[in-house]
Amino acid sequence: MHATTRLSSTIIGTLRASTARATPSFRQRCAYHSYDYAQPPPFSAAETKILSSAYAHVPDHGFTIDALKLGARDSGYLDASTNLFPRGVFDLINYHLVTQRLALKDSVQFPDANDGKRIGVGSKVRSLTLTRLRANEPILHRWQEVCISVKCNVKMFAN
Amino acid sequence: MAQPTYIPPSLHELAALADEIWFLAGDQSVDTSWYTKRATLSTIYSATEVFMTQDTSKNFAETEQFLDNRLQDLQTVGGFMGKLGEWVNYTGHSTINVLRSKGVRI
Repeated sequence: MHATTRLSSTIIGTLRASTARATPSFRQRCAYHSYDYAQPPPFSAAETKILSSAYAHVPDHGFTIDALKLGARDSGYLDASTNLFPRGVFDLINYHLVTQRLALKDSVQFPDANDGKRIGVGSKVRSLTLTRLRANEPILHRWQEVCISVKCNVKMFAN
Repeated sequence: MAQPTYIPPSLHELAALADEIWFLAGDQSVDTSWYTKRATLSTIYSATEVFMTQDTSKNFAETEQFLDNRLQDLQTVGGFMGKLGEWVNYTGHSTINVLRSKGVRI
């Protein structure tokens, strides 16, 4: 009995220690939605500046390193500052994915349930999905290139 | 996204999007459907996205239709899975109860 208690207290102690250590990194990549805490911005100020300027070049230049370089130049950085993005073009794609996902919250507003008809969860999911898909519209011709390159690579990977 | 190294972060982002959509839609399920909902929406979303890149119809009407059809399929399959789960649950319990009544210690 005594041994069991000691064992459980050791386990709880270890858990406590590990949670105490894990807290900061866990908070950074919060895996749940909280109403009480604002999410930290996904990109740093410099990253946002370069990536948003680069994103404006995507319709003309596609998701390429050229767009990144032009973005860096537009926001007053050297071309070499694209080294800030070790994943290169993928960081630009990731910027598109993350910002469009976070924009959903503001772009779709459902009326309150009080006034009149209540909207079902299913139709909410439908309109949210459609909104997100339409957010691809300005860069759709470039998105196609991304999709094709993914398909080619997956095929190569599978063979 | 094109290189194999970037497949995990891409999938993570897709999962985050599906989670965001269900959260914003006000879904409050806490059972296994939490996972199945997100998984099915991820597949539907990525399929529709690929469809959209090939869509030349006006105002993406065909994409909308495609999405509606997939969501319709989901409802049909979801209802079937729910009923299947109920059936398995009922049959399992009655089997155990029959065995118990025969004196098997379970």
